[in-house]
Amino acid sequence: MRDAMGTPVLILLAGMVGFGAMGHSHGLDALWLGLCSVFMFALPGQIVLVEMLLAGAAWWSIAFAVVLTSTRFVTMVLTLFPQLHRRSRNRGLYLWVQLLAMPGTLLGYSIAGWVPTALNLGLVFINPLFFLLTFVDVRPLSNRMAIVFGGCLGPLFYLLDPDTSLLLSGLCAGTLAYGLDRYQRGLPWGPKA
Amino acid sequence: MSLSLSPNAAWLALLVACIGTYACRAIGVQLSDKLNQASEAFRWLSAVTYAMVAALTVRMLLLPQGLLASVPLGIRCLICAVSIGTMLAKPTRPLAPALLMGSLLMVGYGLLR
Repeated sequence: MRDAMGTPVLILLAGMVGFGAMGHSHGLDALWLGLCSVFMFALPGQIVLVEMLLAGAAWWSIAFAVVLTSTRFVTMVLTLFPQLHRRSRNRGLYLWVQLLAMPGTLLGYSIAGWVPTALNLGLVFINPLFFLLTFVDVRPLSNRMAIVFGGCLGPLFYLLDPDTSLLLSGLCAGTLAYGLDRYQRGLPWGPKA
Repeated sequence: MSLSLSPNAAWLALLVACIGTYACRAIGVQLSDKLNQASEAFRWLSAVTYAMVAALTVRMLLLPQGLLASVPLGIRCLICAVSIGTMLAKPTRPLAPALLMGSLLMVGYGLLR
């Protein structure tokens, strides 16, 4: 309990505050942002949602991209769930943290409204910096390659066509990284090694 | 909302995004007994997801839309480099100090210019 109430919660809330500030700087609706944070409670997906909306992408491509970012939950839950049964769970804690996402977002939104630009800069910078820092600790080779390829293709595809760039760069870079990793693992191509 | 899409489309996108996010969580719960986590499909999905988030992050830092665009590219890169360096400085690679350092540096730049 004490471990959870420390740094992880603060980082999570900082992300939500940054999300609120970012939304404000783009002129988005406060209620929409708050509900987004509390009901999705998934920062990468939230930011993909906002960025693609601003780029004018079609709703189905936005949904697809957001779902892609959420597929990490499938493996995350797979890893986590067996462990949860063995220890005592504090359901209240999980609910609290998720509920805090909305006030956190609204805090970021309202702070962005009346603080000097310098502070706004810092707030808006929180989320891209946060994601960048999480890349540093990624272990599996396929994911490391995916990050590098994605980072290279992302801006390139964006210059070519902002609407589809996120999905396309993700699919191309990710598939390339997966393919190369599979090759270096010595696995044959085709279904089921 | 000042978007190129209508507000209705924004709410629709939000609804679908929420459903999709929870669907993934629910699928994970349902499969927790049955699936091999190391399966190739998940490896591929994981790679695509990381690539997408990396594409977005790098784009947000190199080609920002909005407030960050007012910061010169060199300064943005420098602050990112210092933040990563802060994280790597300790073997435990703590994220919070690096995040704080980067944010404060950005604020500091904003105050100085």
